[in-house]
Amino acid sequence: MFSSVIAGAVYGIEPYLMRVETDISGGLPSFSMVGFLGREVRESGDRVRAALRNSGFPLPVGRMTVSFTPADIPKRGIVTDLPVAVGILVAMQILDASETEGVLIAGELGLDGEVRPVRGVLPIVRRAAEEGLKTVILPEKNAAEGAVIRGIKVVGVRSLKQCVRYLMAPQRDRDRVIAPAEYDGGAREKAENLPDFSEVRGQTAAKRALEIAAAGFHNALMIGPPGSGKSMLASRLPGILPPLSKEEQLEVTSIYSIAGKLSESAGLIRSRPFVAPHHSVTAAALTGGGAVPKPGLITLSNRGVLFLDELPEFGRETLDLLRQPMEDHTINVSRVGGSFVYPARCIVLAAMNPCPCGFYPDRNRCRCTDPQVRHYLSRVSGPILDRMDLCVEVPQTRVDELTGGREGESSSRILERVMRARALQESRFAGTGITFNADMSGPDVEKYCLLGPEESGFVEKMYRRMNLSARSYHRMLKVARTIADLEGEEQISCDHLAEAAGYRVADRKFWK
Amino acid sequence: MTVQWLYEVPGLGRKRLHRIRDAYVGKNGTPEGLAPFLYRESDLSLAMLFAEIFDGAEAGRVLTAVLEGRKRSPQEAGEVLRRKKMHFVHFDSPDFPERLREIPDPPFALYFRGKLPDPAVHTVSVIGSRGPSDYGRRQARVFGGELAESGVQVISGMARGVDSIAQRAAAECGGDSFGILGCGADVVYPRENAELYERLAGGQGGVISEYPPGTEPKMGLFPDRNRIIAGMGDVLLVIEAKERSGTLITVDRALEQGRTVFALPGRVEDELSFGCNRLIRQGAEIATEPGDILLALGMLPGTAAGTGGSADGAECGRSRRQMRLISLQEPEASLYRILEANDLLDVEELRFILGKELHREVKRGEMMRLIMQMEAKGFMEEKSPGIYARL
Repeated sequence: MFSSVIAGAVYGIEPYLMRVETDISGGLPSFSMVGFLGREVRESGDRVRAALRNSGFPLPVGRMTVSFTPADIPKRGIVTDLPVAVGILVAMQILDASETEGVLIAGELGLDGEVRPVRGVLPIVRRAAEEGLKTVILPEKNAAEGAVIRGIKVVGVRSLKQCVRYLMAPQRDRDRVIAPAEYDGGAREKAENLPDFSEVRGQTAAKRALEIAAAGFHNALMIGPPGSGKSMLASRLPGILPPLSKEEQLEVTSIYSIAGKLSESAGLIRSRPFVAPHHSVTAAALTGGGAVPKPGLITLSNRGVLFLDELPEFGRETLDLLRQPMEDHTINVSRVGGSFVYPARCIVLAAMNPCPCGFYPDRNRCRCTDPQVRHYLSRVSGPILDRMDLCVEVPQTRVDELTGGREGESSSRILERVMRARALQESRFAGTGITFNADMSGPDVEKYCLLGPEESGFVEKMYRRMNLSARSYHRMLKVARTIADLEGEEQISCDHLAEAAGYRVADRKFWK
Repeated sequence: MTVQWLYEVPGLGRKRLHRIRDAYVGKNGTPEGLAPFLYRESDLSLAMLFAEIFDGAEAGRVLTAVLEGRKRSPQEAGEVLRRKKMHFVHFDSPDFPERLREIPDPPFALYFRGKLPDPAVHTVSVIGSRGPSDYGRRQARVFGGELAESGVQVISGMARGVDSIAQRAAAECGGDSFGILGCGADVVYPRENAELYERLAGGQGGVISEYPPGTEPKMGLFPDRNRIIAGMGDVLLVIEAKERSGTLITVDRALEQGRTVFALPGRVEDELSFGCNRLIRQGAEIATEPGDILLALGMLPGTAAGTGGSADGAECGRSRRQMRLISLQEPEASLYRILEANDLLDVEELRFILGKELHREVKRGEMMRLIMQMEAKGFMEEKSPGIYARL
């Protein structure tokens, strides 16, 4: 007998549906699986047979062939135990073919028949809904994740037996066997407690730079002595970023789902990711990849913040990997298993000391020689620095700022201003596919950052004096655009331009 | 050429050479024939000469060294200099610096590129820390520049920090400056001073060394070099020095040589000023401005002696700065006053203090514009990203 069941998988970050076809015929007993399978997929055969037997379904003696189509997509690192088991049951005529029609099945099996969670559920369910399927059967622990997608019934199962019982029930009674999972609207995530900017005394310059970074999604670099609060400031950046749009939430959650980093029973990820790798991170961990490619840290920080503390301590080669994602907002990974394009639109926020000891240029404390200082700075390559739109010094906080004085501005106040600037960008870029000022391309800059005659003259003077490249000129204009947006002004003024220029460090002498 | 050959014979050294020379002069009246004598004379007559000067064993060693040295010809030694565009003077050359003849343990010979200091012109040796503070850097620039403008030749060791800053300032003001190296005069050390080296070697002064071409910089060579730095100057100026510093070795040499020592005073709590302040307590002259040194040299400001340099250098340098200050209008003038009252300030501090001074809020954009203007005019400088000091 022959059967066909729908399953789903992810290739790179692209979800696709496949059919798992099973045929049982007479002949010498054998079990084979075909369809461009990786070794880890073949192993599922053993689990499936044990799970079936232990759930009370002894396998018939005969030739059993399981085929995965389409056969031209390599299937690696995916788990399709449950659909294979259901397919065999249909082929054995324990289940009827009509009972699995329009149903997508996903899940890993334990030898005892328990259904265990799998990765990439969200994008698979999303694809299933787009393809017009009516029901998905998921491991119970993935049900909350799948329920985020509307227009499709999500059923969570604990065991193979329960799954069979559900499929055997007549259509109208099914909801009574297992109630479909409901999305709770993300009530849980609200409780999340982000650190607040009001806890940071002083450091007004750094706060201002981070506000601009948040409003226009610009990369930023903080330079200051140890203990001045760079990491503290960085951890507060997600709290002033505009909230993720519905579309972005799905995108971010999908990536975490594929990476297997979604916490159990969590629905959508609502807040922007904040990823802070240690400087010993390897290139592969940053970009993603591996024999079975998985998204790396750059992709995990997509739509959020990638914080690189102690920037010069990262290997130069590791840092240079950031060049492409910082420019194109995607990252290409080519591995034996194929080539993948992962999204990589994040704010790169970096922090570093001004010299090996951290106190330069305070000569009474810093004992580094000038060549040492230069060598230290040169560990950050020019191209990376060039992509840092905002560079700001984070000086040692004066004691009077710490003990007395006013409390800093709260994150919610800053967020209000950021949201105003965000609204301006939204109306400006409506229908262009651009989200933030930082996303503008060269021609976009010419179009949206119009300068008056006085400002043009000012920029030209600056351009000559600082010896800017066309790229740094555009980057400066984008920041000036964001500063003007924060102040609610349509026209970019000389002051906006000067402030933007003050944040550009790549063109200054320290790195020349 | 033959003297150069003699000087480069391995195992002789300047002290033995001076003894040999003195003995030879004692016999023959003039030193002229010494080098050819040692190159050509028979083993026997050499042995007799050395036996008069040295103890038995040492005389033997010196004899072996000289005979061994004959394997290299004087032409060969001269060829190296021609190829490297270098010059050689020895103790008895007419153009050997007169000031060095008088010092204890004088060099036997010098190699140089560019020129030697003009004996008719005043010279000042400027030395100091290799890692000076901003104050030290600024003062090294002021003293180096204004002394050069007054027509003084500035001598120093081309080291990192004060040495090279003062020499660069002197060269930029159009004066002659001379670098005394602790390696061969053809070796650029430290590398970052390559530009300065080329400038001096190219004729705006010179680079001088008592070590043969190609000698690599070694720790042991520098203290010896310091006696030449002190010896070539009429006076010695110390810009900044820690309590225990190589700079103070040079000061000791200068005192042995009877040179006047000037020290730049500093704040008592600054580590980099300990050395100078102690020198002052011990009786060194206080240098609060270049004019103090010009006065001691008998070059009252406005009456430049010697050749070269503008007629009223120091006065001119000072008044020009004052003129430029007067040219500043608000709020630039306020900004400069704030910079003068502080060592290092970051943008936010500047913005805050300037706002207080002007009784209004200064926006970040305006602050950056002001900073850019002041940088362009050469009044201030960014020391590290976002941190500024006056120039």
